[in-house]
Amino acid sequence: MKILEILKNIGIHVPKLKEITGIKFSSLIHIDRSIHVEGSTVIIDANKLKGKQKRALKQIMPDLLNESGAILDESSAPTVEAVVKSLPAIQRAAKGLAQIIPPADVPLLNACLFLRLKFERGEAVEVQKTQIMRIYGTRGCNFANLCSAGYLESTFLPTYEELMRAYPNNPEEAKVKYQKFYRTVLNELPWTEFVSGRAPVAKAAAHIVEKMKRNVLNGVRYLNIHGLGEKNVKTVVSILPTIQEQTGANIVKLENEKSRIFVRFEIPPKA
Amino acid sequence: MTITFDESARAFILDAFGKTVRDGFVVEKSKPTEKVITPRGDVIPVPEFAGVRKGSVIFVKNDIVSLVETAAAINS
Repeated sequence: MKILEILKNIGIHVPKLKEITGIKFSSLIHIDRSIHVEGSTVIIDANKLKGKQKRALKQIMPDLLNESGAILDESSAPTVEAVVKSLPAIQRAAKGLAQIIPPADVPLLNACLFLRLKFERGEAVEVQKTQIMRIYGTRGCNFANLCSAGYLESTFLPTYEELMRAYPNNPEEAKVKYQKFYRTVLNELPWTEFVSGRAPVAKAAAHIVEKMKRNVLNGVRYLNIHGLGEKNVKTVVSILPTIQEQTGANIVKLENEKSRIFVRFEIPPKA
Repeated sequence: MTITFDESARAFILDAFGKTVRDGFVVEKSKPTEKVITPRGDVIPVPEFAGVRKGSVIFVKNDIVSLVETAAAINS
């Protein structure tokens, strides 16, 4: 049953039916009516309804939920609407990986892909990235950064395809090995560093130098450094000379844009 | 059609789904010592209550992961 028909059944009649696209519950209207229309939205002040009708309205709320899919605080509704619009793009990008990462990480993947779309449009993502970090810890923040930097397509999916080729008769084995790789990358970012403007510049440089020296001992002679956002780009640019000086590494690739920088360092083998 | 509410109608929405507020958290109306939890197992501080979504009745927090899950549920 349609939402307006459900309301009509309890005596809430909405005029101009064809133009209505939303229902909003609010008691902030300063007029002496329980229902009025603002643009294409019907505003219902439940506190101004008579007792019997208010009780009836409460009883039909599950039906309204069933019809609309969600009843949302007005501050969260625009985000949900934006995600709904982005879902086809999110689902296209998530398709391959969603089947092979731990199921508990699929909502993380979808959220990271939504953030990537926002980042690509130049919109702020810091608050939402912090929310991801609160839920999934540092690994969640790492995944968001890796997605925004393009590692889904350049590394995560190709690695799985490579494993599938290596274990053509044992896809389960490939999946187990893949999840080990996936966990290591998210937890440790072994060959990548995302510079955050939150850390002091000197500390960021020292951390990278230490990571590169540690990696060399494990046979990894390169590190990809990313800065996402203008402030982080400036931080990366400022620490490059220190890193070169203290590790002897060469910059073999540099992509520097206003809100994004990528630097690949390689440490040459000792002669 | 979208259905929304603002802060002034939050108590009405919670009440309609058998919940209320106690000590700053969303709780069961019939058992106020029992905090409502999300599918992820989180309790819901009132300022973080973003609404309800179908799938029986799921209470939603206002973080991006929960909102993305809500969008997917609406779309399915």
